[in-house]
Amino acid sequence: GDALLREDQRLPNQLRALAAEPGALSRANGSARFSHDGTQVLAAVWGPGEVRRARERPDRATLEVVVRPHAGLAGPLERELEQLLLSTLAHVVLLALHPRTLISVVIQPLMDDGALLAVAMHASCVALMHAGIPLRGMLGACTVALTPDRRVLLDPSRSEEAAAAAIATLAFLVRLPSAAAADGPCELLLSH
Amino acid sequence: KMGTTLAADGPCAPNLPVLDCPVFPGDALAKVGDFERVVLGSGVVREGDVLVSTRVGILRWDAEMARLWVQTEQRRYVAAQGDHVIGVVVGTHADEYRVDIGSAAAAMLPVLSFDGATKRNRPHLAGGALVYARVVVANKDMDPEISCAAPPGVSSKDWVTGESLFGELQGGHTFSCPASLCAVLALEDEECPVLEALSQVSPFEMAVGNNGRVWINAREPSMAILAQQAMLLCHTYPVHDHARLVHELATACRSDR
Repeated sequence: GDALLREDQRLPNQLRALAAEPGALSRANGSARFSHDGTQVLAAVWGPGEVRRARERPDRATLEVVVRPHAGLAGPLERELEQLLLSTLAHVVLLALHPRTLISVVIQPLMDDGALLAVAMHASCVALMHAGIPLRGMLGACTVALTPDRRVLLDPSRSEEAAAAAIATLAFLVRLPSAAAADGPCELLLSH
Repeated sequence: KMGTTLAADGPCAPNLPVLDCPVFPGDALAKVGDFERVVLGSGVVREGDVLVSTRVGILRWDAEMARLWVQTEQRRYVAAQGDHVIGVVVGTHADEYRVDIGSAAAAMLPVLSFDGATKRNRPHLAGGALVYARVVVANKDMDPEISCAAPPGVSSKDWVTGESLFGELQGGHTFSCPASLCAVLALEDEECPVLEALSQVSPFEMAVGNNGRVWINAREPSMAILAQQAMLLCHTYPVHDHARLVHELATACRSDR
């Protein structure tokens, strides 16, 4: 009934409207703007390009993620976002195909209305696809909020996140189902 | 050679429903057993006995080389053997030049890799010089190597004469363009309405690199700019509009003087 509806009239398991715009930047090798309604993230990808000797790896590409806040200097929140994105993207990108190169992903949140990590993951995935970097599959992410009265809400807004008892983001490696496999395999990459 | 064949038109032609369709990273394209012989092109990798796409693009089959590949627009150039590239000399060493061709690592051009070059009689390239060369060695583990010597099958003219196919490009103007446009311009067998229309405006010299660079040498700078704008503009228009667009650009260019 109506008691189930959230503040923005969504059902508990209903996601917000998704919008993707690949090629938002003209100079980057790959770029994308991704939004879940009120949360918008811009991602740019550079590579495979030159890498400093110190960071060069002989068997695979070096992956770098930089998160720039929309205002002020980067702090611990940005660093945490970078680490989570780095460990997730390392499972998605086929790094072994470009040894001794650098693949750089730069993320800039433009608007934050909750579920920032999930939107950043989606933006990075579209930007990597736009750049033509080889990937094992596509990245699908979802933020889940557990309210104090034991309700599970998907894709929470900022106010819902603030009022939640616990928040988790799940990321999956998604492959579209083919004729060979009836259901597309999804691999859980991150649970944070 | 794997398993049984599914012959449609010939021993190597596959019978795939996803051919010429858009594919996404992670899509299973076909089983290895569907082919008599297949070469994995760019964007296709093998996982066990399934061929998987690694990029977003259109799946293509090259019957001549039995190659399965994903046609995609990759902005950053990745060197491939046999490509013709336009490079900029960024370093000179005793035995080689270091040339920037747009790939992650600078390419190596041996000093004697010019037709008819000997230790005493060879071209001296300064930093910043443009070269048109052929990629001889390219794989993921090594820096690419290029050469300005004529490939087998093409008659070699001494570098001194200036008539060799590869070598230094003097003067002119270079610009970047999408790799798909370079592929269209470089086709020898098919007609290119843009180039034909431009040649009627004024003659010019051109070199196309697979690494997304085009060099134009015309007597007047305005012709070089016209050619650049025409090529970039026509890339986004259907083929039958090309001649008309070039004509409009040329008239606008002339009327501005």
